[in-house]
Amino acid sequence: MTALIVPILILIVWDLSVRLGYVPSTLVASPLDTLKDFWTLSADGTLGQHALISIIRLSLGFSLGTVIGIIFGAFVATNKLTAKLFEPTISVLAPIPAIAWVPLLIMLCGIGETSKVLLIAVGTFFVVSTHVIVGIRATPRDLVELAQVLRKSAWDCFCFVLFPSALPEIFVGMRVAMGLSWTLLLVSEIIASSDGLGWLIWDARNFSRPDDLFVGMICVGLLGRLSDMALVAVERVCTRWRSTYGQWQSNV
Amino acid sequence: MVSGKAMSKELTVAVDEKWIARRDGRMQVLGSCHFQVSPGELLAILGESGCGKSTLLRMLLSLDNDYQGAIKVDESPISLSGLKRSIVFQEPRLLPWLTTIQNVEFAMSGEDSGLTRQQRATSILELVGLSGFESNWPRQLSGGMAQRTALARALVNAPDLLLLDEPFAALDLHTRFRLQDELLGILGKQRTTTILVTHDIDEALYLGDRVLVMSGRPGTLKALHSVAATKPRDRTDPYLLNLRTVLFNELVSG
Repeated sequence: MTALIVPILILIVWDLSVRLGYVPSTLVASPLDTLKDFWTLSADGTLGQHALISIIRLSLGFSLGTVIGIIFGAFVATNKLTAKLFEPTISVLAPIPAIAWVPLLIMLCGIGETSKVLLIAVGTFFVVSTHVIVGIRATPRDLVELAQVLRKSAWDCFCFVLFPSALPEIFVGMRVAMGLSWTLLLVSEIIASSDGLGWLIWDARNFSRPDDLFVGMICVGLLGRLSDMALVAVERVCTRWRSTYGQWQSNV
Repeated sequence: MVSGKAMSKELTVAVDEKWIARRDGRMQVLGSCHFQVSPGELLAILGESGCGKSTLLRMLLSLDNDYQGAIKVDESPISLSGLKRSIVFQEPRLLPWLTTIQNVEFAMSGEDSGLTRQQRATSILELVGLSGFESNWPRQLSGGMAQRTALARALVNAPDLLLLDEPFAALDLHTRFRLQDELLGILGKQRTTTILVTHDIDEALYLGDRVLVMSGRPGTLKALHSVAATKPRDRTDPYLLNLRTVLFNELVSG
């Protein structure tokens, strides 16, 4: 119930602003118009189609970046040679805002699906790998020593000590990367696309369809929330062993 | 049941010097330290903190091989001897993301099949009185229960040599007494050669077949006493109290 107070307030202010003419209705659609448009776009399948293509791009890019980020991060954090070899370079590449990769990726891969998926993958990779490295390095030394005493192989030590210990930090990285992925998805769809939610929003601007624009934005917001909830759900299953202060809040 | 076989081999510690590197140069942690541990005995090593007791344990585990002298099992260096060693640290050091039974299973080598592993882990947990807590997370265990789990983990491979690094120091008095008794019960059955490092004189007297006193840094062997009282002992036995005074004087005289 409490969760609805702020959205309802926003709806009221929004509706009044349009109704009383504080903002021109040609530029801002009223909540009711947006709802109607949402219904129309859903009914004829347009919205579903755009949402689906966006979700596919996001999932592919995010998974690719996460998997490579975890593997790369694991190597850098556990192997001195790999760290010396790659870390200085990565530390220069990582601060480059992912959006700056757009021109290069478009030149290399064209404006098709590849460049969009790769852009999301690149952004995700840098965030996730950084968190993997930090997480693994923060493993208590005592526990690594325990694995040594028990004569565990490096692989066992990774699977049973380093990785689980880094897992909470890895999930932080994945959640940050998921947020970034939505940004990058929209950017790539706005720059060069003829479908997807980013295109829907941009096309609405071009053709002065404020109702489409609001539908697109709200849809991205809801899907973004959904993707984060999914990550949190997986995280909670994977880190049941923890007992933390924030647990009472994460049920919202 | 875990069938422990006593170490049939004689352990000879003949360390002459042990230095460690520090930011401000080198520091000597251990001086001359020569002693033997007989199969099946419990040797208590008593010394103030910083006297190099824990360093000695690390050397016995072959975690630290950079010292002058030799630690031998019969004639071969301990690092090559294949002697099965395990340790209980002062803190339980359980992996927080594994349940009690998984923590015990983690100590086993990969050879056994899943079912045997589980059976062995279950029976060793029963031995340390933790039946019914197999699937608890470490954070749900009390300090004493966590340390029992650590003991179970150390015993599950039927070690030839059990190293105890102040295992009960962080526990309250009652829990400590109870765990000491349980340890004696388990060791009495298994006859596992044990080295107990402690700074608690009473613990050394209650558990040790012999008590070795170390001097402060650099740690050297200062005295070695046999405790000629049968176990289980009476903590207020006048003989032990006499010996306690002797040990106390040796300890505080530096």
